[in-house]
Amino acid sequence: MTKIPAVSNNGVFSPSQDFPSDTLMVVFDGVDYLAYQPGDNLPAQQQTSPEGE
Amino acid sequence: MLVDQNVVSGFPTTITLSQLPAASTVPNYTSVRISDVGTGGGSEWYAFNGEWYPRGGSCRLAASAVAVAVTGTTAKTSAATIAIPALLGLNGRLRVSAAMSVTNNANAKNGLIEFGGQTVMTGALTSIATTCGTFDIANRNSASSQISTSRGANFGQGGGSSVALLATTVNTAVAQNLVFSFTPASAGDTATLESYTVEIIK
Repeated sequence: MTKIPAVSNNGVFSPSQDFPSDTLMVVFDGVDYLAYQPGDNLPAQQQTSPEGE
Repeated sequence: MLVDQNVVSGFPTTITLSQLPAASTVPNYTSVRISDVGTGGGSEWYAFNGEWYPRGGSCRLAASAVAVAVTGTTAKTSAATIAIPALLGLNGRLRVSAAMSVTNNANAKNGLIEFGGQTVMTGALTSIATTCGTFDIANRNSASSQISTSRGANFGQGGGSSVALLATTVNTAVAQNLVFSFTPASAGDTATLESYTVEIIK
């Protein structure tokens, strides 16, 4: 997993560099863009439904 | 001469976007391959009546299905930024396809797609799990006047509606960015750009 620092321009976060070419998934965690690559455990994508749907 | 040097080999001359001459300065049907415009190692373009046209009528500028998830923040956060070259001309259009998923609750996740800093799609993304769609941003015989097939909210397409189509005034005679972003109301929620495609059609 490659950690890519975010930069803030006028209050908008964006990655400070391109993601690696073998990136499988990216998560912005509030500070950095985390680029997951082959061999990394990918984080589960959470989706909740209201009222147990 | 910059172009058509490789016509014997059957391939047009390869140049970068910064080397592309004004179409008005080369003969009609002059062909080039622009190595840094388009997925798959570039794209072929030809000059006609002062504009460059993608061979085959379209050029896929960017595409990705690598999920980019935004969480842990309430700040506006870019999920993808696509460079749009100044190749739309007077009547070219961008075709944007995108799919997003979000935490399905009542909190706003505020998905936004902006072209040249102007909104072309926005949605609070509340009480839904996913949203997806395709829309065009079309120049109206002017490089600085566009009409969209999006009504702006949640891709708002298809059928009849009382909502006006989205109009923008982006100067496409210069390079612009198309930016996908989220601004979650709650840092505990997640908003994800699941996939996108951006094409020039003309």
